This record gives sequence, structure tokens and C-alpha cells, in this order.
Amino acid sequence: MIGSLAELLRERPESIKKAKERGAKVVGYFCPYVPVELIHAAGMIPLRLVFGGEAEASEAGEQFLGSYSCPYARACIGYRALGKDPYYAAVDALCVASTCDAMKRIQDYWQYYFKVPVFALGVPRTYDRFRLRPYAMEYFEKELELLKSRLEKLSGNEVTDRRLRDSIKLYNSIRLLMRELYERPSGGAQWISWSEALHISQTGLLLDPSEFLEELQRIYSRLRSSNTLRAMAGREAGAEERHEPRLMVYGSLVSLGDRKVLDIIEQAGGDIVADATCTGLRLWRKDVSESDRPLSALAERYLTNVSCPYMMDMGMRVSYVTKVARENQVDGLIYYNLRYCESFRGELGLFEDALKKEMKIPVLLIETEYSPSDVGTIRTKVEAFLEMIRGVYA
Amino acid sequence: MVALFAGVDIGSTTAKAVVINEGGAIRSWLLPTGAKPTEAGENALKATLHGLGSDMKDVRYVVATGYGRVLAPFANETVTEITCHALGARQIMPGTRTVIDLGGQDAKAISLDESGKVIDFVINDKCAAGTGRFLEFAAKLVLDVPLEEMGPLSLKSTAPVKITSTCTVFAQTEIVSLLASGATKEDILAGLHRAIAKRVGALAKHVGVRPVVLMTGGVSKNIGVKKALGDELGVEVVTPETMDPQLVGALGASLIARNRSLGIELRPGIMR
Repeated sequence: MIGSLAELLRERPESIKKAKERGAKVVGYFCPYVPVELIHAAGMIPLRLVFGGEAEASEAGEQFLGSYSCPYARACIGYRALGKDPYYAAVDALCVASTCDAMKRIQDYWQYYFKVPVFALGVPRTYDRFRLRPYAMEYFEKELELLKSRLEKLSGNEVTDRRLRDSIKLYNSIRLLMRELYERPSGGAQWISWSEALHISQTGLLLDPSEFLEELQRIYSRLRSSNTLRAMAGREAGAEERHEPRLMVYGSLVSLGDRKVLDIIEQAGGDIVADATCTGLRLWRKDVSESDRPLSALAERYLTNVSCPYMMDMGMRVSYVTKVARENQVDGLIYYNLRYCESFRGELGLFEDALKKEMKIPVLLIETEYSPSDVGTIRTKVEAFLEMIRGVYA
Repeated sequence: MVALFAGVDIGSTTAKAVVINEGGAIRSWLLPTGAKPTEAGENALKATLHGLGSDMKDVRYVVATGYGRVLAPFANETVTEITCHALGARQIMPGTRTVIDLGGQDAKAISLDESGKVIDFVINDKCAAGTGRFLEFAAKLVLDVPLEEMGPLSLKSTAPVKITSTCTVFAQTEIVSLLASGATKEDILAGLHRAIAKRVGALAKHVGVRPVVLMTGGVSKNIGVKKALGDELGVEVVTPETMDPQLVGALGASLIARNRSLGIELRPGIMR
């Protein structure tokens, strides 16, 4: 089913190369705060640099960042330094949301060592009683205006409201379908797994959005029809519903290629049904208003979507994560922390209180990097966690 | 011919086997794991059976546990050491609510409810700090004290030194400089044990420490660590009296093997 998507991905470096030869510029970006619609409306190629999981890139980044630093940031610098990855090599300019320290280092090093023009997008992050300061939106909109004019200068294309509206519409359609893919129909229906949905979403961040949307529509309609058939067959045969422990994955970003923890969970029989990560479902939450002034609509959507612990009010994070856990009736939370991320690690106590103590949902902390050296320990932890949830030996 | 059930715990340093019949534990064997974990597990099992005048054909079911469990082709099933330790602990010390296991390369703390069911656990990360390897290293290479004398010797300490690092490599440097400054072996050993107790105590506190606290694993044979851990946690720490504390995981595995084989209903379903 996803074979055609893999094909698109295989051809993508070549199509980027051809587009660049015709004068198109590639803008790499980080963090879900960057409104991809702006880059697209400027006729540029947006690429969310979402690769990780390879120890080699992380090691290459070590000479810049040192070894006690975010493995993802190290990889993002390492990939460009190694020069082998076609996406990282294709980047003409970078847009980095000013979020955590690791993002700041990516900004600095790409500018300093790789001489790539960088736009740092300012994002307000101070809250009072679950609300951003009243002037936060105004500030963020000004940042987007500045980004727009920089993109126009770089591309030589004017970002008209009309173009921007078209881009918003396109990405809203993608968001809608991605949400449908993640949210399995209830009633034991056959659907793709959470990690397949994640893979589709990560792939989509690298593809041309129009092509990606077409592919999504194909995937979705195929799923819908086979799902209806299976549901009918299942009812007739009285098929039993499988009930593996329902797990939720918490964490920063699960990057393309970072399969270590997910594979271990799935091999151990855990059924991932929900997530609270930067690259999961919340990337596709919340549409951009198609009726408001485009720039204001973008500012509203991107600034108020659920964010990471570094940027978002603590109470709002807790209520979001517990809500997802409750709605999906999860049996356990896998707290996947990329090592050295103090922001995400720092929330552990909050979720142990909110989930473990109050909701009686057990929490398993896994702290790791991209190297495979700790696979055995992680496997033991995950298997023991599932044995505990299943309670079969008690 | 009696039906036998086996639990094999292949740890990083030692392979352990426990064979039981329908009644209870009857024989066990320990072997160094060495470079071939699969063979060590199998040999421990064969040696145990040999001691019983029996062999593999009498064994109905084998459960493997420990880090080498995935490499055990002779096992019918693998179960993690967390579950196995919990079951073993419940068997030999009913009423256990906290298990602290200090093995060769890992440290774990398990919290049990009244019925002996696992409700929380924590395992240290890949670093060997505060585990058996660390003690072995300090004893043999740096202090020249036989492993089994570490505990008793440390109890003679009058002024335990403060050791800040439980990193195996850095602690060596620290110990060398302590020796150079005239600290006695007794005081250094007591300091080492305190450092381990602090680190492992933090793990245990994470899952919540409720008595009875049972300490298992090779390191629990060290009276100095056991005492320091009790001081650190402010509760009495007990060790198994009726069997080698290294065998608790294998015992748990053998109990699962017996239950599986006899079809004793193992409570299925999801804990909520």
C-alpha cells in the first residue's frame, strides 16, 4: 500500500535537483512553529529536516556540539557536515524557530560553518494563567511578515494573499487526511498502525505537497474500502478483537529513521495507539482559517497549536497529554526522552503525578540516543512494562 | 519419572539454573557466563539436572530470563528478570513489597502490591556504576581485597571516606588518590559501599520503598552494601536466608515454567 509513497520518496532527491536547476530554492526548516505555507507560497521547496536515528550523523555532529548534547541537533549538523544526505545537501536557506537551545545551536552552526543564510523565527513563550501575553500574537505576526519579505527577496517571487490562500487550502487538506489516518476508526476495524501513520507523515514532510496530497487521497480511499470489506467479513465470522496493551508514546521528536524504540515496542507486542510527540498527531492538529487575513490566520494557528515543554505553559501541556491518554484509553505511557533534552525530561515528575498516581496509568522512562548499544536494556524495560500491564504471571 | 520445570537466568556475569518439581525448589546451579551466554545457560541447566541424576528429557518446560534470555534456544518461553524476580521474591519471602536486585551489570528496583504483583520498576541505564562489576573492579584491581572480604572489612571502618564518583573509571582515580593520602582500605571500602547505597537508594526511592525490602543478586552477599543500603533507606533490608540470593530470578522463572506447563491459570487480562 505504501509502496507508491516509497517510490515518490526515492524519486524526490532527483526532482529537487531538477527544480533547483530551474532556479527553485530549497528552504530547510525546523520545529512545528514554522508556517510551511509561507515557504510554499513563495514558490520555494520546503523541507522539514526530520532525519535522525543514524549514529553516524550524530557522531559527525559531535565535533561541533560535543557529546553531551541533543542527539537530534547533533545529527542535523552532522548530516550537513557529512554532505552525503541529498536533502540536507540541497538546502539553500534555513528557517529555524527560536525554541530550545539545541535549535539555537543549529541556527548558529549552519550560519557560521556552512555559510547558509538563516532566518530565526521569534516565538513568544511566556504565559499567564494558560494564556499567552496579549501582545504575543502581534509580535508573532510581525515575525511572519518579516519572514515573508525575506522569502520574497530570496526567491524573487511575490507572496500574494491569493497564493498564500491556495497554500493554506492545500495544507489544510493534508492535515485533514493525516488526522483521519492517525485516528483509527473504532470497533476493531483494520487500519494502518500508528507507526505507519507516523512514517507516512514523516515522508510527507519531504515530498511536494500536491503530490503528497494525491498520494494521501489514494491511501485513504484504499483503506476505507478495504476497511468496509473487512468489517463486514469480520462481523460474519464473529472475528475476535485483538487486545494488546494500548500504549501512548511521549517524547520530543521521533525522526525519520529513528526506529529503535518503536521497533522494540512493536516487537514486544505493544500496540501504539496515540502519541504526544512533536512529529506525531499534533503536527496535523488544528487547521488554518481560510476566511481570515492569511498572515493573521497563520499566526493564530501556529502560535496556539500544542507545543513542547520548553515553549508551552506547563498546565496546558499536562491537560493536553492526559486528555489524549484518556480519550485513547491507554494502558501505559512510554516516556521516550532523547538524552540531554532537559525540557522533556523535566516533565517526568508532572506526568508521574498526573498519569501514574491519579489515573493509574503506568509510565516507563526510556532515555536514549541513536546508538544501538542499549537495545538489550531497552528491550528488557519494555517487555517488563508489558508483562506488568498484562499481569499474566501474577 | 518426575516432571521437572526449569528456570534459567543468564546474567551478565553468572548463569543460574533452578529446577523444580511440582512441589518446590529442588536443585540449582551457578556458572560464570563468560563469552558464550547461551552455552553457559545450557550448561548450568545440565549441571543442575546432572545433580538430580536426570537430564533434559525430564524437563517439561523451560523459562529463560536475564539479559541472555533472547539467546536461549532451549527455552520454551522468555520472561524478563523483573517479573521473575518479583515471583521469586514472593515465593521465598512472602510479604515482600520492594525488591532491590544488584547484579553484575545492572541494578533494579521493583515495587510489588500486597498480592505480589509488579506495580512499578526501574532499571539503571547501560553504565556499570554501582553494580557488581564496579565493586569487583575496585576490590581486585585497586584495593587488592578478595571480593568476599569486602563487606566484613568495611564494617571495621571508623571514618568512612566520601567517594563522589560511582563511575567505574573515575572512582579508580579517586581511590588511588585516597590511598595516596593515607586513607585505610577499611574506610575506602565503607565509602564505596555508601556511594553505591546512595545511587541504588535513589533508584529504589523512585518506585517507592515499602517494607519488606528484599535485596537480591550477587552484591547482596556483601554485608557492607546491605548495611549501607539499610542506612540510606532508613528501613531494614533483608536478604534471602534459605537460598543463594543470586538464584531469585531463576527461581521465579522456574515457577512460571511449572505454572505454564501444568496449565495453572495465570491471571490474564489488562491491569487497569
